[in-house]
Amino acid sequence: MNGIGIDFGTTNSVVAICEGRTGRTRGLTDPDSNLPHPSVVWFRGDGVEVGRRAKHQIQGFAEVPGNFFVRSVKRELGKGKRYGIFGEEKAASDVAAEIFRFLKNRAKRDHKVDVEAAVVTVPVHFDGRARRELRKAAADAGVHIKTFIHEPFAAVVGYCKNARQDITSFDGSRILVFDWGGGTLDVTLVQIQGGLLAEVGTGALDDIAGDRFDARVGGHVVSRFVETHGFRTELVTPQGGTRARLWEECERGKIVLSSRLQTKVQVAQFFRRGGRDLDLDESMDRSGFEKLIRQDVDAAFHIVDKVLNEARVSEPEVTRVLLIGGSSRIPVVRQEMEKRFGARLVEVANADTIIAEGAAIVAQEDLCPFLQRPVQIRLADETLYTVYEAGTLAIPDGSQKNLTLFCTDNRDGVAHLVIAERLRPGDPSSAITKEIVDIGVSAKLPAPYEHERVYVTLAIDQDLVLEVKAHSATQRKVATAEIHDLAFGLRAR
Amino acid sequence: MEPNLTVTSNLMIVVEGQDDREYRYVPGDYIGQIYPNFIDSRNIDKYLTKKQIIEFRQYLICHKCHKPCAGTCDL
Repeated sequence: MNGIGIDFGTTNSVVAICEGRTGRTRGLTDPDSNLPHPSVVWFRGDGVEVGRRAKHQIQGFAEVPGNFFVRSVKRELGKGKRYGIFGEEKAASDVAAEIFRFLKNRAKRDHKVDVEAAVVTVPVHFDGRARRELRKAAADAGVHIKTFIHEPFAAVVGYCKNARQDITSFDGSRILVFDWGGGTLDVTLVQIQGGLLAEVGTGALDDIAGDRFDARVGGHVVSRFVETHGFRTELVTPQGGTRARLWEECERGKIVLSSRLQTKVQVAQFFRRGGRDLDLDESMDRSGFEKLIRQDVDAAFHIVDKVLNEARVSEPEVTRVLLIGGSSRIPVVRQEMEKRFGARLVEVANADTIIAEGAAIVAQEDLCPFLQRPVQIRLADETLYTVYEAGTLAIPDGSQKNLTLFCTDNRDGVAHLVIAERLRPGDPSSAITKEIVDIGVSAKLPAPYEHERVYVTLAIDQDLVLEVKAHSATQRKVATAEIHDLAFGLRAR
Repeated sequence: MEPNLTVTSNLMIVVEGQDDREYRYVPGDYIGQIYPNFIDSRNIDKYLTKKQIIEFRQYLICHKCHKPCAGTCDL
């Protein structure tokens, strides 16, 4: 049976297939460009276009009435964003569904592949609400999501399988994935032991990625434009179609600066003043761009340090480093990586599709995520109670746990349920707090030996989110929490 | 700056048949309100854990300085 994986990206999306008969994987890219499909949706009066054609039409149609473009919809999932499109309200999941529909249709049309069920990749920071909306979007397009898997983790699966076919030949390896795309940075350290892959450290930066760089370039060129023409800054705030064209041009300029030292950012008819159209035409060099994003790059390397520190792994102990995502190709990022990891930096030939390919392998081999670290509850006596042992399969059936606790100090009328994840086996001090759930309890003086009971239910749902529900015996209001950034491993069911 | 405050848990797992030992996890500065006889000087060592005794004494009003000084006024 073939396995299907989908990398639903902020900037680009792609489907991959792992053939059951041969074990070969391939990305189902756009046959004309051999690239993934841009995650751009173009709503026109008479239909919807997605992908490269939509992206290419932004410049020409963004300001023409009857056209509406949505870029980077992934960033809006789970945030309650609604788009007003031709008098009709659409949720972010409705727009995402158009991308899934397009991917499904193009896989069928261009590659004769049916996409009905797939493993879909998500960034580590993607919370429960975003995952549910992504699942709904896929379902609306007729795609059943078998399971989610973290994007960098999928990249390692894809890399290992493509490189040597046999994961056991990587035994003892520690692979660091630096996945910096359009919407997020995900850094994950994966350890391979006994043929099992496990995330031993994860870190993320939300909203500091390619889109942010485009915005920084945009801010810079607009301020130069304002300066040149002597306008007041608040006068020149690009809106609607002009803003879309500016962003498009900034993204293009940013990409050009990865291979050239200088470029121009040009937007025709950018601003109208005194009955005259003014064009934006600003040059930009690589060093200027690098200065603009310096603080973002520093923040990214801070995440790398944090991930290695948490896993107690030093830089020399990292076996390989995979650079994935468009923002990883920025020269200053690559140079810094080379300085730190030297020859261990791996050139991934299929960097555009490796995440989807990894997901396809997970689907084909029917691998199941398991908890890499124990999930524990901190108790009042400062000990840890293990709710889930490391190795527990993250499947909805059978993962539910019911606990009864008692409140040792009810004076504030609140019980604090502290949920932790232990980073290193046998080291209780390495437990880090993941969530604190406040549960209302009675503040009345308890009777001797009748301390108020607190009932807690924990379960790992189909979206790999740990759901926590708790209430006390006297206050029936249910407190809830979700933990979406637990570390997982992969193994056969 | 890293925070130097943390929320600690005030929950313990219920162990069937051990309800009568649950008082051992109640903070020492609170236990006297629930079990007044436990903080009687004749019983305190018998019923309270070492940690509870420390917590209990932490908030007693000192007869010298008339504040809850936890014995620091002599230092």
